[in-house]
Amino acid sequence: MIETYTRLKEINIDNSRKPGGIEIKGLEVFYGQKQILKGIDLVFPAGAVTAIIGPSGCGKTTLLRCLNRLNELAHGCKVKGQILLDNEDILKMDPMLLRRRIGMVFQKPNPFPKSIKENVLYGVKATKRKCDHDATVQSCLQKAALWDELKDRLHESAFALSIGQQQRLCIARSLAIVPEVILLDEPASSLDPISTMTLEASLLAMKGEYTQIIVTHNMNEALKVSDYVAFLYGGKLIEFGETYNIFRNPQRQETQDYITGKVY
Amino acid sequence: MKKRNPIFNVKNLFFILAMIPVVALVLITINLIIGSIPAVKTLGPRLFSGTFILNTEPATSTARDLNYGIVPALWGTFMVVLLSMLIATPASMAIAIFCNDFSKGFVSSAIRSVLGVLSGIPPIIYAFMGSIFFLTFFWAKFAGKGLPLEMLPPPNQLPSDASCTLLGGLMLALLIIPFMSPLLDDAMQNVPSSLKEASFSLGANRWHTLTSVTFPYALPGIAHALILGMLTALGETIIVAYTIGFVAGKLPVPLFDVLKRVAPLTSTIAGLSTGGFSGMQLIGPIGHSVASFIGLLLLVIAFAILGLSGYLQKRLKRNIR
Amino acid sequence: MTDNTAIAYLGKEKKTVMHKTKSIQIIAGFVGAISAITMIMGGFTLAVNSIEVYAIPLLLTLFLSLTILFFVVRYWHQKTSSAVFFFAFISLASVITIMFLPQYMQWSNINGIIHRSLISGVLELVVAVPAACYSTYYFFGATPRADDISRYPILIFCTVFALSAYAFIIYQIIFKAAPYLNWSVFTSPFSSQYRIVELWQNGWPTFSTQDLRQAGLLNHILGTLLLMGLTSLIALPIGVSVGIFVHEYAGPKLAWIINFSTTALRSISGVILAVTALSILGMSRAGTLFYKIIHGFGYDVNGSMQVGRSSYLFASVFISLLVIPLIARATQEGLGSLSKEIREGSTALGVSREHTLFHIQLPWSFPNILTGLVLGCAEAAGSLTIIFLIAGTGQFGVGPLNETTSLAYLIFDCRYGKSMGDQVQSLMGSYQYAAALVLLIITIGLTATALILKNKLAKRYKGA
Repeated sequence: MIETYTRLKEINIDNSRKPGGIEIKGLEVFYGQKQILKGIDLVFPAGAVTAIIGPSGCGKTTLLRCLNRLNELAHGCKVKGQILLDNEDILKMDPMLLRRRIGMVFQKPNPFPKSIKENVLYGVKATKRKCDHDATVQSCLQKAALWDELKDRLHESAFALSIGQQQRLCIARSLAIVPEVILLDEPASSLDPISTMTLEASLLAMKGEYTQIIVTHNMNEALKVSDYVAFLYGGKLIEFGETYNIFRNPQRQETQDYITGKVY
Repeated sequence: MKKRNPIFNVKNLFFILAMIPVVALVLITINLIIGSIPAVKTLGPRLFSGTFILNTEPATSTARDLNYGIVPALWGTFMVVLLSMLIATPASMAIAIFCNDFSKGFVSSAIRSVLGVLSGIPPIIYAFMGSIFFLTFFWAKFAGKGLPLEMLPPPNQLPSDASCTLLGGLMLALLIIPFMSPLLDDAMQNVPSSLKEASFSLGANRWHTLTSVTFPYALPGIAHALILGMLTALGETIIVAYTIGFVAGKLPVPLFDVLKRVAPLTSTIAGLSTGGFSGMQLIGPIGHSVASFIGLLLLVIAFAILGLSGYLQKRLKRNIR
Repeated sequence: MTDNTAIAYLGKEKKTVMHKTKSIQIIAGFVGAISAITMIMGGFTLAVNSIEVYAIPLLLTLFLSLTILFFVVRYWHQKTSSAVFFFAFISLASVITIMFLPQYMQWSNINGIIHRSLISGVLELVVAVPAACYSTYYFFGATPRADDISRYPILIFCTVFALSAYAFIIYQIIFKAAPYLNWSVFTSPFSSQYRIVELWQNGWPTFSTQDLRQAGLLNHILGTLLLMGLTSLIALPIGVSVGIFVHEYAGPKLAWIINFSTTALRSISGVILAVTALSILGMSRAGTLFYKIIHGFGYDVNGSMQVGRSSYLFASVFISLLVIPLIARATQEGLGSLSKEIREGSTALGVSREHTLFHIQLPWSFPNILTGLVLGCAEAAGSLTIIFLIAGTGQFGVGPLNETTSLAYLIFDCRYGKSMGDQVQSLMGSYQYAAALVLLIITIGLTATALILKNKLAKRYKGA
């Protein structure tokens, strides 16, 4: 694992983009009459990996989907408050421009019904980003630890890959448009342990270049990968801090209960 | 980033094109309504009298002298739809059951492919073949072939012109069977296999599973398929016009006599629209209007059946889930 | 319906297991053989009158063997099979009925004389098919599995009976068209024109007519193809737009309105569309350009313009109203088969909705749309309901602005011809079967292509 990590760390896709920090102020989200998030104030430090943990239904995925405004696609969703990306309010931006700066990897891998190469380059062509296509494909696939396996199969359909490979392809696809922030919604939940390890190596290697926000159920993953942890419960932020401190010395009782497994 | 044009964008283009069928339907309905107003005003309830004899006298006759009763045509439609459904329903059900539960992969997919290909045969072929069907199968049975001349009844009591209502019904049934069988087949295939497996695991045989489990579950789909078949039979013009004729004169005297020719509503419309097909028949000043009226009637019946189908689907689905 | 309900339905299952006694098997086998023969004979009796002489002996044998079966079953298993008894009785009653019926019957003013073979054929089938079922049941030992097997005779009989009708039709068309199939039939256009030729005789001009009449299917074949092409051109954009709009952009009410209108255009009788077309044709004033465009015009051999009843363009507009629902439904199926997650994945990359539509969704739905288009072409080729009131001979050229004709219309015209009185019938009457054959080939070919496309589609979802 360490060897993979050092190999991946050396790969650079684009040096011009700096990772962005996100600041959330007083966020409230309603689906119809029901309030999901009740006043969240949170800072995601730039370049670091922050894990969002909490029991099911506490609003983790909602919070994540607020950050790239994907929740607006659902009917009856109302958002109040402020979310700042490098001091610009996300909620007032053009959503499409926003989504080019904040990328997302979903729980269930969703590659497009196209070839592997076209999948990676899809975002590049759609946003008309000027770059060397072949070089981009190579570096993105390398960063997602797929290049060695797939370099001779770039024209095959993405559907023919295994689930673990598909998920890493989705990561490569998001990397191609060089976002500042990457959101990951339980990225390893569909994967077997070995694919999970490879995935985690890629995530670690992206530290420093990208701000990563991971929603996860898996405590081990949070421990291994993240620098900071935010604990959400019942739509409110209970505790936030460095991973080591949260897991060793939780300040709040709820955090303690959840980490030790008394609450699901 | 391109600024989105509020008027000339892709969504509006799709909207305009997508509304074309809606606009067309509305215009057609309005055309029918306007067209039938003269007939309704002049003839009123006489439209539903029992005779439809077009006067062959020249234009000195006014509308009042002509008979435009459409009841014979209504009866013709009823008989033809009834006959075709009576013939087609058991046949399609048998084919669908056979393909679904009672035959292995190769045979059932062969039959399904054959039926799929047969469904592409246009109605004119069935219409055209009607006379051969009649000559081969019906003529010998119904026309006293082989009897000496003195024993035959008078000519107007023999099926004439190689045609009768029964033939029209049969040809319609042949049209509907390849159309309904795949629909029935789909309805039965959509029954979840977990239900069937539960039934088998309790010791039931295939026929019992079919009647007790598959049928009730697939009933909405089956009803939908049958109603669509009925709608097709109702609106089919070419087959009935070609085999039965264009105008129904009177109700047949033994009412259920399927060996006489009683033209349904669709061919009556066709006959009225162009001033008759066999020979020069004057249709009178409001002939076109009566045609529009019958068209409107057909439209209303079709919409009613569609609505009934939707209602039936909801009721049946509620009973099952 | 839960599995519990399935179990409740099965409560009435009776357990009937009989041992396969040799004697029952022999009798049942004999009954089965006789009933199979009777079934076939019954089918033929319905076709040919003279075969009915076999009805009485066969029914009598059936009666005897069914009675024997009934008693044997009763003896060995103390079970009274009322069904076998019932059909034995019916067969006896049929024998008696047939013996006492006259050969020709007529009553109550019915329009025709009914030959006895109709009744005897029907009775043969009515007795033979259930007898075959029951004999199979007993042959296999009267177990529930035997119950299943016993359904085969009736199912196979119905299926074969239905399919043989279609085989008969196709055989007749090929058989009757065969004598007329030569190359010139398909490559020469139909013409009923006379050319006026100027001759010089003794220094004075005279005019004589040159008979240019000929029979041929070329114009009709080209006309059918042209109708297919024009209809596709018009129906494809509209149909795809309907599908996309309803699937992607419309709210529930608007979607319902559009879907209902589109399917309603197919459900209401085609003759209504024909009447509307006729009334529009009647609305235009003679002599204007619009009149010429929708009525279709062409130039005959003498160079004068002949205005027809309707042009290809006009007819295609109405036929496309029938084809649009096919394409729209196909588009919706295609779009619906793409999972929501893939669409979300595209949006998450910051891509506009239209870009996703054109680059991911439409390419994915392309096979579905193609299938719908091919089916629509088959529909347009065979379509007669719209054009049978407004088409003509089409002998003055084949182009969007010429008068409409098609193979289907030719078949109709030969019998109920309005366009040229008797001329079409006399010239082309014998080519009806050839026209029907070509039409059959075109429509069946297109439908088969659509089926093959659908099969290829089904393989797509397995992953690659």
